Amino acid sequence: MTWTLFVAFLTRAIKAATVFIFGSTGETITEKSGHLNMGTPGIMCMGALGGILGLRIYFDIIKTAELNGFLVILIPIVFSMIFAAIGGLIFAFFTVTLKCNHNVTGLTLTTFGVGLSCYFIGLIKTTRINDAGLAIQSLFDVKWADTDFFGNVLLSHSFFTYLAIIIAVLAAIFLSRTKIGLNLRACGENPAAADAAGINVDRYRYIATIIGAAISGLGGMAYELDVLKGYFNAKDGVDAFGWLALSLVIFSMWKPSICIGASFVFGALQQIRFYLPLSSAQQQMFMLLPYVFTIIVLILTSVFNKKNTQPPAALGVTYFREDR
Amino acid sequence: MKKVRLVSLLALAAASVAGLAGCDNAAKDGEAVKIGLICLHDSSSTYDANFINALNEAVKDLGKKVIFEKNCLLTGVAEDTSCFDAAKDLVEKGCKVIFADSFGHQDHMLNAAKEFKDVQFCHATGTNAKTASQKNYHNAFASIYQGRFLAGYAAGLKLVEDKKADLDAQKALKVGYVGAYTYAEVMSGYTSWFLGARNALRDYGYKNEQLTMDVSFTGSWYDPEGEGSAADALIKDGAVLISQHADSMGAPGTCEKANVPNVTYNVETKDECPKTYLAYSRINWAPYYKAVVNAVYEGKDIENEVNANWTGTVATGSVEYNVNWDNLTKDATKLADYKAKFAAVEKEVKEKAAAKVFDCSTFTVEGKALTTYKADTDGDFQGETEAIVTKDGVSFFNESADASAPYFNVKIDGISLKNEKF
Amino acid sequence: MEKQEKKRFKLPFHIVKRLDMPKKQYWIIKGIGFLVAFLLAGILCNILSPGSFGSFYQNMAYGVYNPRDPKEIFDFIETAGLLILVAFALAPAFKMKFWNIGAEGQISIACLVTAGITYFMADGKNDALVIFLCLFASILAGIIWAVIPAIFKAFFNTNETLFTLMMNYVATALISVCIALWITNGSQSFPFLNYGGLPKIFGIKYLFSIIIIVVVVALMIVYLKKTKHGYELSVVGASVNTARYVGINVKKVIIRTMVLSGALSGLVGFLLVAGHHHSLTATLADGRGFTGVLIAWLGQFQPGQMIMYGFLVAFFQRGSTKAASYAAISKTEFSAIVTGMFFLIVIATEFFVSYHFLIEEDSKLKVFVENVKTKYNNFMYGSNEVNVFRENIIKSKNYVKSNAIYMDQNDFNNYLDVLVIIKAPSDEEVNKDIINERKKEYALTKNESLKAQIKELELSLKWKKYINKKTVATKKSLVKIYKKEVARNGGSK
Repeated sequence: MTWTLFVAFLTRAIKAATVFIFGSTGETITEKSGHLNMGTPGIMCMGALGGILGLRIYFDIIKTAELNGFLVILIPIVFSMIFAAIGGLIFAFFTVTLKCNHNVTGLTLTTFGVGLSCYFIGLIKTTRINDAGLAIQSLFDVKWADTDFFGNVLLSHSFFTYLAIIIAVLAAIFLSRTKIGLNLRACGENPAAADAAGINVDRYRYIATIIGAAISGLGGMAYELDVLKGYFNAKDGVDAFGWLALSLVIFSMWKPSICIGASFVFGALQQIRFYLPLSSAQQQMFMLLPYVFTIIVLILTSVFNKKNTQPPAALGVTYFREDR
Repeated sequence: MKKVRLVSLLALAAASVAGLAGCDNAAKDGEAVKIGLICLHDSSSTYDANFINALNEAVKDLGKKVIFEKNCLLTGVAEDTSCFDAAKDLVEKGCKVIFADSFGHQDHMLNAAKEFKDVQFCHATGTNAKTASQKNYHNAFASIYQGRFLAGYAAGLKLVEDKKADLDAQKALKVGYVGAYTYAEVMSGYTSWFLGARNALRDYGYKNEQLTMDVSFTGSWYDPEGEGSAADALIKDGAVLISQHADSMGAPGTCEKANVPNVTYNVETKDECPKTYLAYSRINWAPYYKAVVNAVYEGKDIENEVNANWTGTVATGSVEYNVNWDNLTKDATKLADYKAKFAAVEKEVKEKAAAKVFDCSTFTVEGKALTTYKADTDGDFQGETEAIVTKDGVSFFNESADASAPYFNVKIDGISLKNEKF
Repeated sequence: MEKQEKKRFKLPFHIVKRLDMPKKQYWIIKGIGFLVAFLLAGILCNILSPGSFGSFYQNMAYGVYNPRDPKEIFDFIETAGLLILVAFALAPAFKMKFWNIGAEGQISIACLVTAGITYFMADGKNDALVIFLCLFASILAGIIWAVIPAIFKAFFNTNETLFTLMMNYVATALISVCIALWITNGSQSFPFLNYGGLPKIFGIKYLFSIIIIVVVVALMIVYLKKTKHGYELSVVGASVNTARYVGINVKKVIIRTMVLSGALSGLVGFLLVAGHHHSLTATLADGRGFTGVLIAWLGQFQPGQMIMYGFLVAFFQRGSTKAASYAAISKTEFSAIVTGMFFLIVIATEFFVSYHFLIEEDSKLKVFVENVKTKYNNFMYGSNEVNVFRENIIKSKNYVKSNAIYMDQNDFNNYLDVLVIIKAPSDEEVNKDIINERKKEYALTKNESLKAQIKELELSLKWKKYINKKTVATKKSLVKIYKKEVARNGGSK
């Protein structure tokens, strides 16, 4: 692989990692509160739908006028977060208020969410949405030379990449340093104790799930707009990212700070097959690797059982106040 | 729940007696032919959109002879038993001709043909009709190599226009091609495209060796990210123009972003890629559809009326192509010259077909001209048919004469495969 | 506890867990849920394809029985049967609280094995051998895929939900690898395998599969209900500590149950390839593993209910696919939406079944119990008025029984407290000194009734200490055990 290709590969790996960072950071927040949201694939699809829908409405309003660079980033973000948050709200409602089993609710939400989103994405006209995709490609509008490492790898990305990293860093700080973050973690580790200490476990779980879903939804939208440059299609398979996001959370041992690096690893694994001369079978084997790595991490963390690498103790367990 | 079912069943029992009595799928001539289409994805995929649009076009032209109802267009049919179930569904709806559009549908369409002998099953892109000898099962394809050649010629013209300085200085140019799999359908496509480009260069006095091509395979027909990354890698590696044989907007999108000219397949990307869209080629299935329906309408055998292994050509209107002359040059005199040369080549392709495109004097294999080659025309991966033919003093690879699907899979000099995917 | 109540925002009613749910009421609520889902699906179809409301229901029925091809009813039974088999594969694991969501992967790996063996070995003459080999290999593959997470759970307490989930994707990716390795003509699926499939019986395509499914399901019902293994399973699921206490080897049970789970999933994979598709794609399992999770859970791991849900889901899936096909709507998405909606609604009904809304004023029992408490709180132990007490408690028991579904959790706690209080002296009375006094008295007088008294006092002291710290469930069982102890020790009831 030549130097140029290597630089190109790293750049694309980071772009691919953007989607993963959004997905895994959002899901980490949700899981820290104790909810294992297996509806994440459906939620990421809903986020993608929201982003595309927002842009469709925008372009239908401005027709053939020049697009506004600022709006074309803001609108998809807002819309996708709203749609994804609705998905998170449904999940939280079923698991907190209706006290249903997490796994069952999550799987149902995925089936329903993916079907619904794909159906509606298929109905949306594609006119000009790729204009938006192409417009947001580079935040710093500089044309770097093909061999320029720092220019390409660090500064040639879209707003979404930088946003993802900022959100992940903020999430890491929030979870580990703030009081609310601490309370949130308590809800996931020992909801009974948290409740006894006066923390409203139900409210924390609701909010954490909704915010987590909203962030994950951004990942779906980032895939359609940033990675695919707005050339979207109903069968883009955004839901696959949802499952990978779930594995990423495990892989980064529920720490958003590790999520960034782990997402890059997953992104690199996903992209390397186009920069190396691989046969079909070898290429498919690279698709295996993220899951295999995750399983290895899962095994190692449970074997060595260090306290700070474990899943939240009450992950996936519905909290009944009366059972205390 | 159970009550509703019971009531419905009772109601149905009455209806079904009447329904069964009138069920007869064998076509009667002079009666409008009801048709159905089975698609792998839906119209959001450029591949399937091609078939769907062609069928709608044919239906318009056929008027009263055909019935094509909205619910006889089945989309999202996977390449497994659901294809058989879909075919059965269409038979139940009363279809007398069923079309399918994806290679993996072929075994299941064949099974359905064996079971519903009164219905005609016409499968596009397949290879097994020859050996299956099932009277009501047929394959179809088109000589798309002709369209590719012409689109490649346009690409060559673009190179002559943009890179004149480099070419005059005897430098070599590289183009890139993103393909799905390393087998005949794709290889025939990129080779004919490449030969077209070289032809254009030769017409302006340059040499064959001044154009080389890198091919990158993605291992999937639809992989927007993969196609985008592959195109990106080719561009970073020095390709100055890209073409592809894949169903997504991955490669065109990357080209538009990198401002590299792009030749597409199946879809004209004038709106989506205004700066870089150069030319396209596609198979137009409408003539085939019309031919089949006409045959059934007149009660004739598809075997005889329409070639059971149909391979449409530019002449039959089955191969379409177009050049975005605006993106070639704005200079009017140069444009006139380019257009004239293009028209001349077009005429030659229409008259001589494979003799013009796969002329053995225009390419070499391992340094030597090709004098003999056993091609696989029956889908068993063993070459058995001699494909090199000599007519009127010209030796050429006789593509698409012995089977509907392409079978040119020779690796010629000047094309380097970056990887291989099966 | 009371401090928390004051801080929290109080609704005019509160949601309380039902203690008991009469069967009739349960099924009425569930039935309403099914009908609502059925109705909404039709409305949705009409929105997407105007005018199709009526034909939607006709086509839903056709999904079960198609008058144009009566043999299609076996398609319906096979669809339901496969889902039911997956549910039965998962039920033992779930009963054991081992959340095996890896059924999809276990099915997929079995599909791969079956398709691979058939592709390479079947030549038309060795069908029986190929079938047996595939069956054996599929079950083995399913077992391996299921046992790996089980071993790690048993020995290292690795989170099984996540592990089995990951194994799913490893399996589907493996299928893609193998297809890429073995199929070199650009197709992303196996060619149709003409040999090595399960034969037709009486010309009916799926009858063989159906027979296998029926036999296996029957065996599973026996296993779960009648055998020692089934019993051990439930105990481990109820409480790992109890199981260990009773002498059950928990690790063995976990691994054994997952072997069973994997074996059944493997069988499903075999039936999918050899009995249905005769081909292989990466998505052959088509979400059955996940749908099976939902069916098993909704059916509360009870055989009868799981079978019912299996047929219901098959009805919705096949019906909505057929309806979509006739209404010219995209099949796969419509079916997913309808089935998803069905599940969401049924899950929601679970809530109405388990909880009800209690408005504050309705708590008559609360008032009654408060009265009992205040009036008789300082009652002296051993007096004759205990009979009057017992009468009142019996009255209150009947009251509780007839009003069980309206009882507030707090009310019930209070009721239990009363039970305990009337059995034991008031706080001022019971302490170690009194017990020691009684013991000395007994040592002197050897009065047998004193012995009984001492035992009761000691018991009541012990229970009183524990009672207020435990959860309600434990309270209930503790009261039961306490009563048994009292009866055993010759105390009056």
